[in-house]
Amino acid sequence: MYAYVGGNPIMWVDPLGLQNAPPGMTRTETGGLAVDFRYWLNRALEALALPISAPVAAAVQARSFYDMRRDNTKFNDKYFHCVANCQSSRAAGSTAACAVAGAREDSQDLIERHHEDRQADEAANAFGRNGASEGGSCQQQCSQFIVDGINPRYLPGGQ
Amino acid sequence: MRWSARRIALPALFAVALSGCLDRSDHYDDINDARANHVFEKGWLPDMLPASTYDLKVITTVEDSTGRGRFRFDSKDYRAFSSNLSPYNSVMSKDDRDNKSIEQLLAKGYEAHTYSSSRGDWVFLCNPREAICEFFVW
Repeated sequence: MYAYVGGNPIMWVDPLGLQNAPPGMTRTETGGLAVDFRYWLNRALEALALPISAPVAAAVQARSFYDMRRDNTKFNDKYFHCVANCQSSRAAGSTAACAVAGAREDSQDLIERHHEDRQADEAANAFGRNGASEGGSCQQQCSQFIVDGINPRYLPGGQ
Repeated sequence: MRWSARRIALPALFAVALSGCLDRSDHYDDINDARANHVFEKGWLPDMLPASTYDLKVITTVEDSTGRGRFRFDSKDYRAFSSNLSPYNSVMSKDDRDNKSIEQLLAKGYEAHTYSSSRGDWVFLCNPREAICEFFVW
């Protein structure tokens, strides 16, 4: 059912339906699958850089979650989750952003948070990380999660 | 790789983990103070509290969009206020702490009402004699 995202709809999305190969693979001219070495090289470099990039991702995400709490609008959390992961992916790479976001979700499970909230949070996190490679601001990339009442300073075009 | 990456991220994690999941507590002198601070606009209370509302306390957990609190009002406004609410139908919050509080207030004889809108579901537990209501939202 989730073959279009490599069987992992949490980590990957294909909103435009244009992907024709799972992550880390590419299609050859004859239609076969081949390993995408550039993808795996980037992943390996990101993993090696984790001791430095993870704190950077954590700092960027902490800033966004501080904004979320300061804004304090009901149901605003998915928007700020998305923006936090988009911005930290751009600052530190998606591997570090994913590691920090995953560890944060793990830590929140310790306070008996509900499972459906975690799934929704992780979907917003993944959407933000995938949007990081697109053009435009992270606020624009995450605009589908905007709810009424969020302070305009945190919205696309805000200061 | 996923778990080892998380272990590397852990030292930097605590600030992130604590940045969204803590409760936030706010106090407002009266309904105009609450309105000026966008409490209704941000979805934590419906904008239909008694005009005489004062001493309003709102505790919110933005990470899971739950909230709780209490307010006082002039007792003569209670009937008009409660007429806008529905009878309590045993609806339960997604926060177990709030459900325990609701049960305790019911046991004390508080009058229970509910209210629903696109912004959420509320339970109001009120003591008309003391002119105080406690509320829970999710």
